[in-house]
Amino acid sequence: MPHPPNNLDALRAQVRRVERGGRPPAPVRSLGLSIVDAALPWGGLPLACLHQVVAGPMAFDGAATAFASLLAARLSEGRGPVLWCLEAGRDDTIHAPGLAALGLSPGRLLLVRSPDGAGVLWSMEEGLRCPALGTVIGQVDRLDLTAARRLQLAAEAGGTTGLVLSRLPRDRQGDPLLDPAMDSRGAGGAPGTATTRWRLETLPSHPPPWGGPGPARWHVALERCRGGTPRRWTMEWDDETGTLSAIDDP
Amino acid sequence: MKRVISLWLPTFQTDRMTRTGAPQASRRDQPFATLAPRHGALVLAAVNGVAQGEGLGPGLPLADARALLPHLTVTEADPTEDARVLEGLADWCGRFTPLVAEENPGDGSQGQGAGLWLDITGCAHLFGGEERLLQTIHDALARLGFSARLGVADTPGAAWAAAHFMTDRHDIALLPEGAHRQLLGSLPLAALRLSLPVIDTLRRLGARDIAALASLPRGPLATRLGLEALRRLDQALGRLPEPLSPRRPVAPDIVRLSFPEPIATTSAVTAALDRLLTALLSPLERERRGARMVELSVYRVDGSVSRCRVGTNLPTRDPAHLARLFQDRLDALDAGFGIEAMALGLLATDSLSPAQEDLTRAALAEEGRPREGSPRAAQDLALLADRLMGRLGSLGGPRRPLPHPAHQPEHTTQESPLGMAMKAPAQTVPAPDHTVAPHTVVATRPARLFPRPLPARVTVGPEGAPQTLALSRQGAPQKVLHHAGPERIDPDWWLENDAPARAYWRVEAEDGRRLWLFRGGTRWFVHGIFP
Repeated sequence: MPHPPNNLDALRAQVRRVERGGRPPAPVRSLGLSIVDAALPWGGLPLACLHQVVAGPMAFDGAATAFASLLAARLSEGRGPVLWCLEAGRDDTIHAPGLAALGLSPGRLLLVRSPDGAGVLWSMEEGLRCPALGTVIGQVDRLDLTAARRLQLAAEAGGTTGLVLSRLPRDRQGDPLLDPAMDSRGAGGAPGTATTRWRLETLPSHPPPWGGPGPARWHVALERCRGGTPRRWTMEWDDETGTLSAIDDP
Repeated sequence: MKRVISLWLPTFQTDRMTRTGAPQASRRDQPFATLAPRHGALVLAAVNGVAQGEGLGPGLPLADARALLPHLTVTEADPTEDARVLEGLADWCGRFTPLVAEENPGDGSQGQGAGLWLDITGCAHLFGGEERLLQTIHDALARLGFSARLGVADTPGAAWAAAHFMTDRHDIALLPEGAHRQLLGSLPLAALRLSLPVIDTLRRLGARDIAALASLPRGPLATRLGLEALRRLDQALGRLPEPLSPRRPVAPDIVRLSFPEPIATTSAVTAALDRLLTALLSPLERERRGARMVELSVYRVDGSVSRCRVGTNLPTRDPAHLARLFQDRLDALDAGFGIEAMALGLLATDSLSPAQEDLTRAALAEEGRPREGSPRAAQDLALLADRLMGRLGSLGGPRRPLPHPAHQPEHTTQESPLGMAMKAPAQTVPAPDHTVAPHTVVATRPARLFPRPLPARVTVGPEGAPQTLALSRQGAPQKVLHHAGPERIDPDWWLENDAPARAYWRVEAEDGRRLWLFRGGTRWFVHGIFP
């Protein structure tokens, strides 16, 4: 007996309502890429929850920082400034003029430094509870289940979106393109921590005709998505036009 | 009318040792003394009450003392520990008045003991009157293990004389207002804190007590003895002021709470703190001011004091906000054997105009998320900044990285604290600049910049462009596939550095990593990471 498609959608909506616990649905923001929006079950990235961006194991890889800044800028448009929490002296290398090109102007960026990792998590939680902020980014190496749950609850309470910027441990040197099993479980911890988890790695760029490095190109893997399936894309960020585009995989 | 207590602890050093249970000093009814070396021999530094009664005193050589009292127990004196305990005691006396000063040693003391001054002008009624207050202090000190004698008078000098020479069987001397002139007259000259040579000279001149000294002609006395004797006399009689400098900064407003039974639970402390906050903040409404910095002092039954300070970016009259800022600290506060009193002092205030109050009240009545740039958003950010700075210190305060005019990339950003710009909520949060689209910013700067550039090994090809790049000693050199540059950046000439000019290159290596390299002189460095 053929099931009309409406029943399945209605069932999905009901499941989502139950998961939310009766709260109104969180607003959703598009990344500007229809191919990514289609892959996400909400049609865009949900606000007021926790997302995670994991950097690949290579050192000196700026893809994750850039992607997190892009996300933060888009998700906080019209909602408030961005709070960046980090540990003093550890990857304390944020350069505001560089972030401005990614859409995060210095006037909307606030930096908070903590003496240790616990302080970073605490300041993230305090920021997420403040409704005057748009997004809170935190540089956290390991995110365990308890901490992630606390941050989720804080994000829902304050209506602010949370972004955890993590890094894979250096010994995970496998090639993600060849070995799909080499995902970032080590950094993200057990499944069930963040609403979406992305892993970013730098790829060689396509140089322009006049020479020099081309627009930034990244391998973007949506490793975990609540209610969705994992996907991979190759994306290109053109800083001159300010657009993010997806390159078709060969 | 000024009223000062002189608190004399005649056997302070030995009491301190007995109190802590030092093995030689544990029996109060046994003679005990501390020793100090002088001129190569050991002499007594301080003796306890029993030894004093047997005729021993400071300065007596140990051999003589042993001859007088064979069963005398001795131990080494510890002046640093004495000073530290005295400071703690002075802090503890802060529960009666914030104006506590330590007495300078050598002001006519006999070489042992310690003294404190307490300025209780106008606050005796809080403790049931002066006599009751003196009795309370005396009993509290006795419970802590110190024998004490107290005198209160209009001037420090008169109070000192009263404490040392006029105490009754309760160890208390109370000189009523204005009565010190008559009552001091019959006291010996040592009551004026004069040195021994001066007292000798005066005795030879025929003056044996204070009344006699006061009747001597002043001019010739000054010529003969110097100014000290007259200065001390005038200070005692109130003709010359003797100001006391309190040990700690004195808050303009302090509220106190004493507990009939010592408290120790967090909930009790929180409840007491709420009452103190309400009492401290409500008078500010009349003056149109708000609190900026508040200090909580906690007095425990064992005589120790803990303090905890909390500050805000915007003046506030909201007890709940300050209570929340204290909450983190209260968990770390140790109640010890119990807290017997708490005091809350207002250290800094700022004006809080009614216009600001109306804005805040209207803003707080809004529901839902605040609009970006609205006064309520600014208020929320200020409260967040307070909480962050409260736990992380000034390092944790949110900072805005603003552009700063400089050549060298590591200096082109200067972080300014969020709180500094805050005066009125309406002007604080700058409206987001949507007119400048992000892609019009010239994107030649990396997203990550190392504060100290990392050395790199680079081989150079034609036109001086980098050809291979090795980031670490062990790393194999990688080919540089694409490069853009050079961009020449001169050093900041206004700083006194003789660094060479730098030639910056944007490079992309084989594996796709995009970096910002520069050549300074002959050496190459990695300065930043591009997306």
